[in-house]
Amino acid sequence: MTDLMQGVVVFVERLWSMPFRFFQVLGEMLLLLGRAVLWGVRPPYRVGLIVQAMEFIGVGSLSIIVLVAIFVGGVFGLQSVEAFRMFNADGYVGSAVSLTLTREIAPVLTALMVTGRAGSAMATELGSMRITEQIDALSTLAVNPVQYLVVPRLVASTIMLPLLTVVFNVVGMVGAYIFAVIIKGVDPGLFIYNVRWYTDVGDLTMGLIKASIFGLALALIGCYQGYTASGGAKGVGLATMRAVVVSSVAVLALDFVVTDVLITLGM
Amino acid sequence: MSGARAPQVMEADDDPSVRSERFQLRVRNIHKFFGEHHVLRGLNLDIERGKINIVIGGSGAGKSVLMKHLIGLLKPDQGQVFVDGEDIVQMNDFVLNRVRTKFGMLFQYAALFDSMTVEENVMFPLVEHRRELRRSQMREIVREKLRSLGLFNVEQKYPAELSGGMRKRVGLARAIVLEPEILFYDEPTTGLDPIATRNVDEMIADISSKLGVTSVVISHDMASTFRIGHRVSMLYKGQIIASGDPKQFLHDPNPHLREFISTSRAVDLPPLEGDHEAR
Repeated sequence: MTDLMQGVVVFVERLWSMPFRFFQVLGEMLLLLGRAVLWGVRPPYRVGLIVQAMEFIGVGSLSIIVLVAIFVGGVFGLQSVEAFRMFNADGYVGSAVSLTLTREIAPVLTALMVTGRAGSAMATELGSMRITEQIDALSTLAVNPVQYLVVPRLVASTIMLPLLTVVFNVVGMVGAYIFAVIIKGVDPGLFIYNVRWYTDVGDLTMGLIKASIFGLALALIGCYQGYTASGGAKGVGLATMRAVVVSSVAVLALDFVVTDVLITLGM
Repeated sequence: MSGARAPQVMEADDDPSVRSERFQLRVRNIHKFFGEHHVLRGLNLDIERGKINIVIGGSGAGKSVLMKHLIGLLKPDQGQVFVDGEDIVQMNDFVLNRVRTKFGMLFQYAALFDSMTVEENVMFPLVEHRRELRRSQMREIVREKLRSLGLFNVEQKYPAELSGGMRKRVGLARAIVLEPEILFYDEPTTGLDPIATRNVDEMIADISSKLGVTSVVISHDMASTFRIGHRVSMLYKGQIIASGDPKQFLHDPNPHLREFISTSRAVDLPPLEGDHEAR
C-alpha cells in the first residue's frame, strides 16, 4: 500500500511538473536562439561553416526528399483520381495535388524528413562534443560555441528547407502526373491547365514561409538538445531521441499555428 | 602558512579588483549550488603569477567545478573571480571571450576535436585568432610546437589514432600555440602510467619556466604535486582549507590535509611538534 501511495505521489508530481518543465525548456531554447542572433550578427561571419552545414542539410537530404516526394505525389495523384472520378471531375486532380503539396504536404514532410536525418545528426554531434568537453574546449580557445556550432546550423537549415520544399513540390507533381495521367489516364491538358489556374504564387509562398520556420525550429531543437546533453553515451542517445520527437511534434504544431496566421493575413 | 585555514588563505589583504604583481587570478567567496547540492562554499583562492599553482583535493571536493569558475565556463551563485583585477563574473559573453585569449587549457582527456587532424587541432587557435598569418606560417608554428613536445610525424593523424599520452601532448600544443598568460591543467596525469606521468610533469615544469606562464593545475596526484608545484592549495568540501608552498604544506596540522597526504603515500609526512610532545 505504501509503495502504491509512493508511486501515485511520484506520478502526480511528474504530471504537475510537466507544464513547468515544458516552459523551462521552451525558455531555454528561446534564450539559445537569442544568443545565436546576437552572435550571428557579430564578426567573424563563418561563411565556410554555413556552406558546410547547407551541404549537409540540403544536398545530403536531396535523395531522400526526391524519393519521398515521388511516392507521396504519386499516391496522392492515385487517391485523388479515384475520389474525383466519383463526381466525374478527374480533371481537377492536378490542382488538388498542387494546392495540397505546395501549401501543406511538401513543407511538412520535408521538415519531418530533414528532422530524421539532419536534426538527429545535429543533436548527436553536439551532444558528443558536449560530453567529451569539446564545446568547453572551444570556449577556452576564446571561440564562442554558439557562434561556431549553432549559428551556421540555424542559418543553413532556415535557408535549405524552403529549397528542399521546392524540390519536393516539383518531384511530387511529377509523381502525381505519372500516376494520374500516364497510369490512370487523366487528360494531360486538363491536369496542367488546372494546376496553372488554381495554384498561384501565394500558395507557393505560404509553403516556403512554413518551410523556413520549420527549418529554424528543427535546427534550434536539435542544437539545443545536443548542446545541453549530459550523462555520457546514454545522454547523447536521449538527446537524439528527444530532438527527433520534439522536432516532429513542433513541426506539426507550428504548421497549425502558422497556417492559421497566414490564412488570417490573407494568404 | 602553517595552520592556514579558509579565512587566512587570502595572503594579501589588498583590493583584488586592482591588478596585483604577485597574484594573477584571485577568487573571493564563491558559492555554487547545483540544485540542493552546495558544491563551493565561500571559496577563496590566490593564484601566483608565473608560478605552478596546484589545487589538490579528493573526488567530489569540487575541483572541476572550481576550474570551470576560474575559466568562466560556470558563473558562481555568489562571489567574484578576478583575472588581473577584472571580475570575469560580471562580464558578458563578448568581453569574457576577449579575456579568454589569455587562457590556455589542457583538459583531462585532452578534448581534441575528433573530426580534425592533429595539425588542424593545433592550428585551430591560429586560424581563429591570428588571421594575419599565412597557412604555411601556421603549419610551421604547429610543427614547431609539436616537436617541442616530442611529437613527430603525427600532423595528419586523427585523435582516435593516438595514445592517451600523445593526445595530452597534442592538447597541450593546442593550449600553448597562442602563447597564453595562464595555462590550466585539469587532472593532467590521470590515467597515465608512471613514466608518462613523469613526462607530463616535466612538460608542465618546462613550459612554465620557458614561457613564464602562470600554471593552474587541478590534481589529486600528490607525487606530481610535490615534484613540480610552487604553490599548493587543498580543496576540501568546497573550501580551500590550506594554501602555501609544498614544504610548508607538509607541516600544516589540518587533519584532512594530513590524511590526504599520508594516504597518498607519495611523500613522508614529518611529525608535528605536538606529536613529539605527546611521545
